[in-house]
Amino acid sequence: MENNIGMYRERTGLSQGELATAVGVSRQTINAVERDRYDPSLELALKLAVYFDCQVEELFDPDIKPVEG
Amino acid sequence: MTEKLTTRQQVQKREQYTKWMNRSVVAGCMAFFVSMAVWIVTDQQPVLFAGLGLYWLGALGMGLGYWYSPVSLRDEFEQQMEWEANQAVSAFIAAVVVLGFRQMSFSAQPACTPLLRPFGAQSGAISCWCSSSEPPTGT
Repeated sequence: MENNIGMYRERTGLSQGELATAVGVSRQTINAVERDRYDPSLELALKLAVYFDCQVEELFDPDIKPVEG
Repeated sequence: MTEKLTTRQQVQKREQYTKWMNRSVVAGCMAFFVSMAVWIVTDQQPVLFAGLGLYWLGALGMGLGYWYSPVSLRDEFEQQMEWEANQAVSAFIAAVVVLGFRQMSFSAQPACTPLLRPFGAQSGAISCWCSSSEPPTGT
């Protein structure tokens, strides 16, 4: 799942380690999320959204097709 | 510990407990190797047992770290990696066990099947037949 976490992080001038400490995970986890190697849990996604003061949809692009009713 | 920890405190606790656990295990292993070296030199068996005891104390320290840590010692990504590693190791062990048993049964069956006749061999002869290519002499 593509995401803009790296862009948001660089915009705020944080290192991966600082962001990881801020949201309570390891630096490796932030690195894996930024590189699209790991999809974070809902809890971590919400923490990141709260930290960057934005919507989860702005951070993550799940590329899900709309459900046809 | 019931107070609510901040994310920064959670990370600090996780690192602190992980460090203690690693030190405990390393100290236990080092104690065992040192005791083994001392045992080789002095030939005093109690030294070896003391080293073994220290090794298990180190393992116990690691277990206590897991048990009493107020936070999860691995975050979600590390937990997933651990789960995937467990899956891979379990699959490998299962493959080795299944293939190993099959290999054992294939190699053992042709040699031992004729020996399973209840009155065909004297007492104690079956093990001789299975391990030797020559028939038992009966002596």
